[in-house]
Amino acid sequence: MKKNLHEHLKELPLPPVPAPDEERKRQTFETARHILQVTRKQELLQRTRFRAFFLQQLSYVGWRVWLRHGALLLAALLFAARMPADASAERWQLLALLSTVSPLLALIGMRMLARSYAFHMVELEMSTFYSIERLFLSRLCLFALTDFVGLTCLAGWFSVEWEQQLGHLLLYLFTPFTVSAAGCLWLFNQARIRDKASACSGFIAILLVFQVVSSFRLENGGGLNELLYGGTASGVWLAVLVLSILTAASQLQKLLHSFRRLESGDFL
Amino acid sequence: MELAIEAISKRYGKTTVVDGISARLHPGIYGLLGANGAGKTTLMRMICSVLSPTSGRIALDEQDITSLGEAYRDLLGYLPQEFGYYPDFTAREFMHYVAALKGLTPSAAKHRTAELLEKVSLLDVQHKKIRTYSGGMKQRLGIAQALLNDPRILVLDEPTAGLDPKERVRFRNMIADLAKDKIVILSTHIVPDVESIAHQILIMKKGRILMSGTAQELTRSMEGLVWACRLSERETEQLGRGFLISNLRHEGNEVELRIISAVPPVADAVQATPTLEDLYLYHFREESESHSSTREGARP
Repeated sequence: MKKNLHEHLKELPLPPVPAPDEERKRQTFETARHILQVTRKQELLQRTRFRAFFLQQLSYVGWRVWLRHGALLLAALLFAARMPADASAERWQLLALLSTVSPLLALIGMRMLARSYAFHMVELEMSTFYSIERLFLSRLCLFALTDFVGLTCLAGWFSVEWEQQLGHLLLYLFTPFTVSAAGCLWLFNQARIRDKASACSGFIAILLVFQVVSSFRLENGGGLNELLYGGTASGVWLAVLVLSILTAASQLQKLLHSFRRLESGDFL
Repeated sequence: MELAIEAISKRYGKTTVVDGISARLHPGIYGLLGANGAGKTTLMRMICSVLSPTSGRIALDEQDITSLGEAYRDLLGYLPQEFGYYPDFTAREFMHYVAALKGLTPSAAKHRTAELLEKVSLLDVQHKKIRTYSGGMKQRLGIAQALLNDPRILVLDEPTAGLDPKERVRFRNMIADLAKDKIVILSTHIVPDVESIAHQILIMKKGRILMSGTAQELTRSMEGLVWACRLSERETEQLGRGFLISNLRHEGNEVELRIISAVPPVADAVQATPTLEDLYLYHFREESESHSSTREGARP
C-alpha cells in the first residue's frame, strides 16, 4: 500500500521547476546580508541596563570566590556545632575565635577587588562605559550583601544555640568585618602601595592575630577575652563599629572619586 | 565630529609632562610621534579621561568630556600602553568581560567577539588562557578589545609594540580600513607605523607639539638637510664623530652613508630625498643617544 502510494506520487505531474535565476539569488543574498548588518549595527548600539551589568558581575567574580565564601561560613558553623562550649566563658572564647571568619570573608572580597590593580586593568576599566567606578561598587555591594547575610545567619545560629542576645553577637561578628573593610579601602587609596592584595592580607593577618589572642583567658578568668567580651565593653565595640563604618564610607567615597579621574598616573 | 584639545597641560609638582597642547581632531588617523618621555601616554590618558589635566580642557563637539561622562566613554576605544589582562581568562572570556564593561548586550558581545577575534587571527585560540599567549597575541587581543563597541574615537598607545612585521602590516591595513568615520589616535616611536597610514602626524617633544602635518609636509622641512655619499670605513668612523648618520650600508670596502647635516658632510656628497625617519632622527638625536631607561609609562 505504502509502496503503491510512493509509485503514484512519482507519477503525479509536477509543476516545472524554474531554472535558477542568478540575479534573484544574488539579490536575496544581498538583502539577507544587509538585514544582518543592520541588525548587528542596531544591536551594537544598544546598552545593557545597570541592573544587568550588576548581575553579570556575579559570574565575573567567579565560582571559586563564592565557593570560598560559602566554605568559610559552613566551616565556622560546623566548628561551632562540634565544639563543646557549655559555660558562658567558653562560648565567648569560641566566639572570639570564630569571629576570625569576618576578616577572612572581607579578605576574599578585597583580594578580588584588588585584581584590577594587580593585573593593570585600572586604566582599561576606567575608560569603558560602565567604568571601574561602577564595576568596583557592584562587586563591593555583592560581597557586602553576601557577607551580611552569611554573618547574620551565623549570629542567628549562635543566638539560638547559646541563648544570647542577637544584637551582641551581630556586634562581635560585624565589627571585625567593618574594621577589615575600612583598613583595606584605606590601603587601596594609598598610591605608593603597588601590591594592594598583599597589603590587605598583611593588615588582616595582624587583625587575625589580635582576634586569636583575644580568645585567651587566664586561669583566674581574666585576660583579653574577659575584657572584650565580658559585657562591659559593648560600648567600645559599638564605637569601633560606627567608626569603622564611617571610615569605610569615607575611604570608599575617596576611592570612587579617584576612579572618576585620576590626578596622577601612580595608580595605573 | 570634532575633538578639541584646548591648551592642555599636565604637571606633577615642578615637572611639566604635557605643556599647553592644542589641537583639533576630525575623523582620520593621527599619528603621535615622539621619543619615550615626550608626553604621548599622558596626553592619551587625558584624551581617554583617565587622567585629569592640570589646566586646559578637552571637548567633543564643544562639550567638555568630563561633563559628557559615560556618553563620551561610550564612544571610546582604548588600548593602553601597558595592556593589562586577567591571565586566567581565555581570550573569549576577556572579550565578553570588556564587552560587559562597555555595556554591550550579550548577543552583541558574542557576535562582535567572534568577528574581531577572527580579524586579529585569534579565533582558533579563543578558548586558551591569555597567560599562554605570546606578546604579539596579547597585543592583538588588546587591539580587538578596543574595537568591541565600534568606537568613534579610537586611542591606541603603542599598538604595534610586540607585533611582527607581518602583523604590523595587517594592523596598519585594518586601521586604515576602520578610520573612515572615526578619530584614530595612535602613538608610537616606530616611524613607518604612522608614515604610511596617518593623515596627520603630530611630533611631540618634551610635552609640546613640535610640529604637525602630513608626512609630505613634514619631510619637506628637511629638504636640503639629507645627504648621501660613499666613503671608506676609516673615513666613516671619522665622519660619525661630527655628523648625524641616519643610515649606513657596507658595500665591499666602501660604506654607503646617509647623513643629516645643514652643510655637505664631504665634498662629493649629494642631496637625498628626506624621509620621516630622517626628520625624527634630526629632532630626537639627543633622545636616541641617551635612549636608556626612561619609559614614558614610568611616571614621575
